[in-house]
This record gives sequence, C-alpha cells and structure tokens, in this order.
Amino acid sequence: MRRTLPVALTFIVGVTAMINTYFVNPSLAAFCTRYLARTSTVSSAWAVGLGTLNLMRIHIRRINRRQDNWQYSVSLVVTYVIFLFLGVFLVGHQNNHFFQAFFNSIQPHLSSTMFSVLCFYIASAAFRAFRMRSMEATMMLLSAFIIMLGNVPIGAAIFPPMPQISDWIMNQINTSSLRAMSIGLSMGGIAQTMRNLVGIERGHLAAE
Amino acid sequence: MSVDRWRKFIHMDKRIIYLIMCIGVVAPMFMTFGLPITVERPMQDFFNVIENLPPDSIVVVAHEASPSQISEFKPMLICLMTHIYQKGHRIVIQSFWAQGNALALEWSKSAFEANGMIYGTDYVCVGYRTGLTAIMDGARTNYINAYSDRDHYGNTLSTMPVMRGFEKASDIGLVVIFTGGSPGVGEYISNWQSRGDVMNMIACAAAVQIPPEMVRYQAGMLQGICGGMSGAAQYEKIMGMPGSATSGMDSQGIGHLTIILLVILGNIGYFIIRNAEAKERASRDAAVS
Repeated sequence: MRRTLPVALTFIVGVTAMINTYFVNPSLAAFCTRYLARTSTVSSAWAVGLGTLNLMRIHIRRINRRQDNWQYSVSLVVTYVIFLFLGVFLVGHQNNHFFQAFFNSIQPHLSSTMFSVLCFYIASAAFRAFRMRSMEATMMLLSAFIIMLGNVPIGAAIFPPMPQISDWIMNQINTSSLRAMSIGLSMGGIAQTMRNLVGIERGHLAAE
Repeated sequence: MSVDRWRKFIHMDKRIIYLIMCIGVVAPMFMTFGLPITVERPMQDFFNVIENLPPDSIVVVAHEASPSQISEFKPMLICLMTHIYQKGHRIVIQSFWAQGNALALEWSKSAFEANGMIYGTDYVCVGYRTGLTAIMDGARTNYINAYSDRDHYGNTLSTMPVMRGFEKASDIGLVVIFTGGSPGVGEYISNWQSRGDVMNMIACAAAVQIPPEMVRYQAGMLQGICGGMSGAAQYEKIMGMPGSATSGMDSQGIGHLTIILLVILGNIGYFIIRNAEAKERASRDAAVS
C-alpha cells in the first residue's frame, strides 16, 4: 500500500496534466488550475517551511557545539530571525518601506559583491590551470580567447574580423552542440517521466 | 628570464593576480577609450520587434533576475522602459523570482523619472507570487484573477488605467524576458508560446545565459536577444543613451585582455619549465648510462 498508492496517485495526476496540456477542455483546465497546480504550490510552500526548519536545526546545533566556523551560523540565524520578524510583523510586510530599505541596502550589494569576486577567482584559476597540455585543451583555450575578445570592442580594435569569428563559433559550433544536448536531455526527461508515471521508477518511494 | 624566475612567476602569490586584475578592471573606469560598439543582429532584431509593435500594446516585462545581474540588467532596463514608453505601449512588470519585482522597479527608477512615467497609468508591477504553473495557466484565461486582482503594493489591479483591455495572456503584445537562470525563457515558452497565447517573445539574457537563448533565437522562439553587458551597450548605442554599459565595455575589454595575457604568460612559463626539466632528465639519464 505504501508504494502502490503513491504510484497510482502519480499516474492519475500525471495523465490528467498531460491530457490538459495536449487537449482543449475548459472544465479540465479549470480543475487543473484550481486543484492540481495549487496543490503543487502548497507542497512547495511546505517544502520551503521544512527546509527552513532543517536549516535552523543544523545551524543552531553547530552554534551550540561551537563547531568550525560557528560564527557564520550565528550570522545566518540572526539575519533570518530579523527578516522573519520584519516581514511578518511590520505593516505592509515585505512592501513596508523599512523592510525594503533594510533589504535593498544589504542583500543586493552582498549578492553583487559575491558575483564580482568571481572575476578575480577566474583570473587566478585560469592563470594556474589553463594549460595547453593536449590538442583538446589547446582548442578550448583558443576558442575561449576568440570568444572573450570577440565580445568586447577592444577585440575588434586588435583584429577587426574577431567579432565575426566569435559569432561563427557561437552560432554554428556552440549552438548546434547545445541544441543536440538540449534535445538529448529532453528525450531523457520524457523517458524518466514515463518511468515515474507508470511506476517502473520506485527509488523515491518508501520501502515495502 | 631564467627557468627559476619563470618557476617563481607561475607560482606567484594569488593576491598579486588579484591586484593585476583589479587594476585591469578599475583603471578603464577612469580613462575611457571610446572604442566603437557594433550592433549585432540579435540586438537589432530585439530593437525592431519593439519598433514594429502595434500602438498601445501591452508589454509584459518578466524580470527573472537576482541582484548579481545589476551590471547587465540595469542598463538594459533603463533603455527598455524608455523605448517601450516612447513607442506608446503599456508596461506590466512581473517576476517569479522573489526579488525580481522590487529590483525591476529599483533599477528602472531613473527611466521612470526621466520620462515622467506614472505608476498605474504607464506601468504597473504585479508582484511576486509562488506557483509559476498555476499563475501562468490562470493568466491564460484571466490575468487579473491569476494575480488575485492585487499589484506589488496590494493595490487593486482591475481599476488601473494601465490594465484596460488586458484580460488574458493572448492580449499581451510582447513578452520581454530577463533571464538569469530558471525560471526563465523556457517557462514562458512552454506555458504561453507553445500554447499559442503569446507568440512575440524577446529576451534580455545575462552573459552566461546567451548560449541556451541563442538556440531558441535560431529556432524562432525568441525574436531577438539583448545579451550581456555587450548587448546592453549596443542597446544604449541604438537608443542614443550612453550609460553604464557603454563605459563598462572598456573595463570588461581590459579585464578580458588581462586574463588572456595572464594565461599566455602562464603557458609560456609552463613550456619553458617543462623543456628545462626534460633536458635535465635527459642529461641525468645520459650521465647514469
């Protein structure tokens, strides 16, 4: 029962959603929007709630036991509690001016900084690791140089046909490879979905 | 340079590399080279789609982005909002990324103020909702109901002049998708375009998202792409509004050049050391034998 019921439910819900996608039926569409899609939303919300509790449990335990880098856990828990308090109890919740000012003056800047720092790590890693050890590595290195220079005006200033060569690599070689990968992934996705739908794939279910 | 010096060079302290990179990126901000920017076809197509829209169209700006994309998306948003407004269309901002809506409003603020755009009349932000499939599916039959008749600030959507005649997804003239990851272009195509609701879609892609979006552009799913800071600079050029992307291109160019030079020097050092070690080994072997 513990395995049969989830498989049956998966099959019914999956087939209903598929019929709704490929056939036009207003009442079925309304049913899917009202119940199925909202069930998915509610499940996601539960998952977020569960994830939050788990995150807090792990970090509070780390603080209590003074494990390595426990100070970062303090920062996470304190920030979480502050934003939870501001978001839930302030008038207007996340649209409250104080909340917005607090959030906008902290999070976007931290996030942008993290992303900007990548530039330095990439430069250091490329200098140390990007070596022409084989034909494949050499081809990759040359392609990277062309793409990097082709996307900035300085590339055309150094060698005028650079943007055209870069476009050719991007549009012909890169895009066709990506298209093949994308089609392959989609076919794999369909096969996996069918396995889940008809109950062949049962790894995610509880043991009998 | 001796082999030992090359050995020292390729094992130099990473903080020196950071410093070189920092100078390479920051210095061009203070001395503009003003190198010419060429407008590429995907960007020209992007521009033409907005130019050729029927008057008073609804343009949905789907700002699926996070703060890390500020350098690319902010200049794009400023040009885009100005462009759409100047062509007489109405703007509806939405996002399925938690921070997307607030960021779109914040980053577009200068365009709204410069053009005297009025919230609720020229543009609106419908805010963040969870449940992408439910919202997009619901919007196919009733957009306002899908958003519970409330905007980002909790105001009533249905009474706003910007929403006049906008009932369902098929009333949308164009969707401009800012894509920094997932959810992004794929979700809009599968929920609205493949079902025949909105056929006109263009994308503002972060640089890392350009390759997958090029596949969709070549397949005709996207009619145009404004990609990365380079795309933003091209947009600024077409619009005649030089801004942060145009000045950022010099910085990005020198940054790229610095990385390339470092890699070339690293490889020269690698080959010199390898050859020297091979020679040493050969002479040692000869001595032994």
